[in-house]
Amino acid sequence: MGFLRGLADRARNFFRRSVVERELDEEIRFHLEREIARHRAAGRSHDEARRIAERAFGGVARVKDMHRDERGVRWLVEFFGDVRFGLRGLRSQPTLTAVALLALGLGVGGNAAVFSVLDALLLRPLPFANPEQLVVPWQVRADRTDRGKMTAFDVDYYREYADAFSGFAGIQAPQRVSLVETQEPEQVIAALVTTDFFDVLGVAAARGRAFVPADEAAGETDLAVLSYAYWQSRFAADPGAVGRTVTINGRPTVIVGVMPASFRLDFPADVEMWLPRVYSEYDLTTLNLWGEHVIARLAPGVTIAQARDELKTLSALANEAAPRPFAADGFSPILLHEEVVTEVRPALLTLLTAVVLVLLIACANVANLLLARNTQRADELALRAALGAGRARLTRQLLAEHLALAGAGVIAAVLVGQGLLRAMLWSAPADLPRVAEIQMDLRAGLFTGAVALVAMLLFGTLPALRGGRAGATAAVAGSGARGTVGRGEGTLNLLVAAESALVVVLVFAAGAMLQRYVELSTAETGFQQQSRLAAKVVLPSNRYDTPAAIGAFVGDLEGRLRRVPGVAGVGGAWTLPLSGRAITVTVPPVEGEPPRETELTTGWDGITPGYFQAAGIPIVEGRTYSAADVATANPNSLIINETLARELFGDRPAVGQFLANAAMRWQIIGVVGDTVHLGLDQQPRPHVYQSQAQVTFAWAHFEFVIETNTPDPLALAPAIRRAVAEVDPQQPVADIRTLETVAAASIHAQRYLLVLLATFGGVALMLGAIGIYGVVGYGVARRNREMGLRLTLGASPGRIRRLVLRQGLGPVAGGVIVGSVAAALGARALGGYLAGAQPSVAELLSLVVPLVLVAATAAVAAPMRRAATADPMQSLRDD
Amino acid sequence: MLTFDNKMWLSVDVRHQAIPGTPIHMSDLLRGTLDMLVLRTLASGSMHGWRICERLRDTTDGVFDIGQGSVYPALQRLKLRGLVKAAWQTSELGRRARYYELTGAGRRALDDEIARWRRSVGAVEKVLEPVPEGE
Repeated sequence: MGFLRGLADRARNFFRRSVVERELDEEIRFHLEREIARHRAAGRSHDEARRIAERAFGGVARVKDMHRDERGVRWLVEFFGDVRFGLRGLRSQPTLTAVALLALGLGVGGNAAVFSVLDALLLRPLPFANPEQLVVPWQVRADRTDRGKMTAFDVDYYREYADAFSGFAGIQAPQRVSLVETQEPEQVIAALVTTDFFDVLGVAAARGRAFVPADEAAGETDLAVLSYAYWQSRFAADPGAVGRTVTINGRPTVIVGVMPASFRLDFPADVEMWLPRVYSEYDLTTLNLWGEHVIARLAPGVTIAQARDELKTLSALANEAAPRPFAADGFSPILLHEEVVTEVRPALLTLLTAVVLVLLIACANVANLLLARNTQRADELALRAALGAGRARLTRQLLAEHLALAGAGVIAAVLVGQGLLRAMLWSAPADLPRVAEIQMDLRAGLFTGAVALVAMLLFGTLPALRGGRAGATAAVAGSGARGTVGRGEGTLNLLVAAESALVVVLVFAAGAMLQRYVELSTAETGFQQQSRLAAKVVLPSNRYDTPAAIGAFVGDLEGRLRRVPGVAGVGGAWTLPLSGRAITVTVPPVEGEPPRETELTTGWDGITPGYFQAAGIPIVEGRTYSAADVATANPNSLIINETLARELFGDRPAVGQFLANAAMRWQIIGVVGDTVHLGLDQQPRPHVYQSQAQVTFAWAHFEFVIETNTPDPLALAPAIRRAVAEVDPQQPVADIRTLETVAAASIHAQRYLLVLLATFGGVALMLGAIGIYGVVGYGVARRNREMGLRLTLGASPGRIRRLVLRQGLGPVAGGVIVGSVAAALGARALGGYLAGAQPSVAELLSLVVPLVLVAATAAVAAPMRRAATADPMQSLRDD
Repeated sequence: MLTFDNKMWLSVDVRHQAIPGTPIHMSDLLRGTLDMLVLRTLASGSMHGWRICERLRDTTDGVFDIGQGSVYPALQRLKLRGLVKAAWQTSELGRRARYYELTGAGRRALDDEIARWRRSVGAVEKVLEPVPEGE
């Protein structure tokens, strides 16, 4: 109670200072009047009574001062006075303040922004129940380096028998489905998931319900669950949407629920809707269709290794009972969280490293500026110390001033950080996972702010105090530190050297990324991009369930597209080069040769005859498909790319050779140029193209490539949509885009990283230059008298300039050497980080080092000129 | 709560004994002593600062007549510690004055202080026993 009352009193004493003072005045006046009245009553004159009363009271001013001391807020009052004083000081030094704020803002803000992204993506657990139990059990085979999905049979089998898991959900790669409510069909990105999907993730619907295995058991599977975002955008967050019936892919479907806003699954990709996937007899018996992604939940207490071993045992058992083609040799279950973030991790860590370097540069910069300023004001501090300001008092004042700077810096950092974060998210690659979870992370801001503050205290406040004490007598004697080399000089030079080294490393990293990007964007893609469009069509499996039905659609559509004015060629394939996707199979042995020791994996595409011409992929040898390559032809025809031809036949001609296994025989009819599917940073891999007409199963994902002869191919998009609608009014067409867009999208991530790294590199260069300018400028100002003397004694201005340049660039040169060595050493490690970049160290350094030196020289130029034009008399008179 | 420094006590006491009747400046008193005296004075009821000084002077036959101003910082101190509370009231002569009053905590603190004071004085007195001659 007493404590609380004291607190209230203190608060009043602080916030109502003038009222408290007035009350004390009144109290004292009352006291003195009563005392005077008493003495008057004893017969004294008024003057005498007043004198006696005042003497008995003791000095009024002193009592008031004692009273203020007792109010328990004196330090606070003084502190705010100091802060005000400090702010005034900052205002009177606008350049220093602006530079320090810029440095703090960029350093601290940049870190807060990048860490916020990093935290949301890498550190925070996925928004599911016990996310550490969720794994993706990829299949692996001894002869293949990539990881495989599962067949429907696998999912069904392991779900039933694998005790290591408490749940085993299958997910088909997201596809576009058509949704009709009342009017036009529209496309929705949907994932077909097994009915236990939501149970396995352990997330309940925000509205309505998610579908469950019981729905499947009851035979009710025309159900849909919406994502929160889709519910908001398409249904305007209408609660009545749940329970409504819409037509999805031609079937009346009930919307049963909406997932919470936090529910986002980036494996295999984010979607707008989930539909139940019920395995048909066809699914369960087609053992060469590995189309199922799996998310499984480990049973409590089971380790990933135990789960892996059990899967392996079960796989072997099933294979003994009934051999499956290409059964898995093993499994590599990976945590779902790992799976989602693996690709972005190196880029994020690169960025984090970059911003930490920027922060270090910023700290060095602020420290530099404060050190320089401190030495400038050493006289002031010394004088005040001599005039009786206590050490504690001076400490508090400096502290307050630097806190004011830090506070302003934090505000700047919050603004910069917010802006940077928004810019990063706005321009982020579309497939950046967990993007909705990203928000400004205050902890990061606080932490980096604290780092900056410590740096300021270490380099700003402490040295100032030391200097203030030592210089007291000197300052009063009137012979300050000017003209001689001060104690701060060594530290300053060290800071400049460190800063230069960091700048070199950062600019080098940005340069390496730029080099990599230029390399990628000018790389040979193997296909023509100009005036060409791609349109994605995914046929729903319930209406296109046979190769014949699909073939009819494709033939009809291509015919109509060819008749669209402006279209020069049309061809279809399952996947596009640079799309980041490829379907892979094992190459059958070459007929008449002993089988290879290890099986050879190749990309695999079904295509229509016009594909190579439409996409501009050169036919190197032989021919493309024709109407003669029908389903019943034996042997089937096969076209392979140059890499596969070289792999199989070396220098021998490939056309005319046969591939064969126990069931089938293929004749190679053509060899085409290489393309890369997985990305421009990949080497070309073997690829086979099969005629769509000879594909024996119902694969229904197509990219149609349309070669046009118009300058603006996208203008044909409406005509393309019309053509599709003519073939099948219910069939949506997605993603009509130019092949240039396809190529650019494949290096979007690298471009993104490049822009950010270049930004940080540029900021670092600028901060570094400012730091050098500040230090050299300060040194010149301080040694004005020395320069004047030298000039008087006959030194030429050129000589002075050289002196300043040498002394200014000395530490820079040292730093650049250290930085170059660090960059060269780090280049290999860095190479891995920078998305495969292997910078040519010497070439880059030969660009980076001069750049940094030029910037440093530019920073030194102005002070150099000032020194050389110093008026000898003026500088002598300064003392 | 309040602490005593024996050396200072001696100096106060010695002065008092040395020149009986000479007023002692109240700011020469240790804080704790003045606080205790103020608390003790307030124990007889609510009063304003001048009245406290008057009581002190009268009770001590004028020893505590100078340095009256020190009472006000002492009151502020006691107020922050929750030992007294203050309120503006109209004084007996119709003027507005700030009246101070002991709180429960103040009453308890006063008892403690008096006990300690007595112990301390007893101890000091023992030290100050006249020194036997010839030693």
